Amino acid sequence: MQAAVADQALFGRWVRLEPLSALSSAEATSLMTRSDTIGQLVLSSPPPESCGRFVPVFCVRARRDGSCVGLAANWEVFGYPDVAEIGLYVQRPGLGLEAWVLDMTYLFSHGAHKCLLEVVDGNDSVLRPFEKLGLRPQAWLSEHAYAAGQFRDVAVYSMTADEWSTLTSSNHALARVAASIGGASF
Amino acid sequence: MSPMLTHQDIELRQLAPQDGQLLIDLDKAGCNIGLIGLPESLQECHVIFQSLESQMWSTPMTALSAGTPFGAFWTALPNVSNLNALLVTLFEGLDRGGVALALYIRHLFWSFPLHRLYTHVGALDRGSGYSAIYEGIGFKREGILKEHALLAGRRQDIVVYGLLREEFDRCMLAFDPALSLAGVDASGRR
Repeated sequence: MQAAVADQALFGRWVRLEPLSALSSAEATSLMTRSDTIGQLVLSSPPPESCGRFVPVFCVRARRDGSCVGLAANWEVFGYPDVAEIGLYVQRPGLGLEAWVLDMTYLFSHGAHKCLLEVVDGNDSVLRPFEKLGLRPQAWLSEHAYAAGQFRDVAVYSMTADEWSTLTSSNHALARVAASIGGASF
Repeated sequence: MSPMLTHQDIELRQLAPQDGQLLIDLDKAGCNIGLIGLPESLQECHVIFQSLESQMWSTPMTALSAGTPFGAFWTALPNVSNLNALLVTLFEGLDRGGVALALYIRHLFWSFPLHRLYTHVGALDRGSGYSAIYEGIGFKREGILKEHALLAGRRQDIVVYGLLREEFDRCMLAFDPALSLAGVDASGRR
């Protein structure tokens, strides 16, 4: 995998993260409202006042055909100014993982001390790869989300910049994506 | 201002703009165990009160004992899709905190279609007293968020607690049935 920052976008091998525009916002919104997307298993919308507080909100596009496959938002966690929560909604899990690495690396290089991600129980397309990476939830929130017809538990994953550095340096695939954009200015 | 709710020797009344100094004093006394950002001036308090007024389910209240305020509560981050909210709690007197908090939570579950409340406790010495209060009214410990808060230049872990409506009711039935929601009609009679 090879990633680079160019033309105000983040490039991975499979996805491109570009700052959300009026046009791509409409595309992403349309994607989120489709019932077969991961949007069914995400939590609330990010708070508008702090959305994009660390880095821009990105539209995630597949590099193969340029289609919009998701959205990568970030916002400040209420009460904790240097903790960023990521709202990552990507249609295809493999692409989502690469988008997540790009977004996390970029957030840490732009002032986030810690990044947090909430995953609804049953969203195995995220939980399984995380388990393979050796990630463990720091908390399980009981019946915290109403999704797909019932209240469901939510796993909270969070990582400091140091932990992220350790993870990416111990995993060859993650390291290549992360290293290519780390520290780049927007 | 007259109390809205009473139970045993505890009264709850609406938190009003004139309680700004109480919030500042509670914060200074180390009662902010959730370690969230709180107002440092009366002007900032005014902004918070205004924002709470416009926020769904916020229900800001002061707890009093013998007419003296000793705590404050409100909810934040209301989530109407998931029917949950973050509980913010500040107590000066931990010994009276359990009854006041149970009364407040009972009021929330009675008034709104909330399914769950959750709260944060800093992993500090003082936090253990709060943990005992939360667990005493049915909260479950759900995990620890490492290095989540920055306090006086040091990173602090945060313990997350959660409470479902049914867990609260089960707990109240066992320990203080007067605060249970079970078997109560719409007028509040059992």
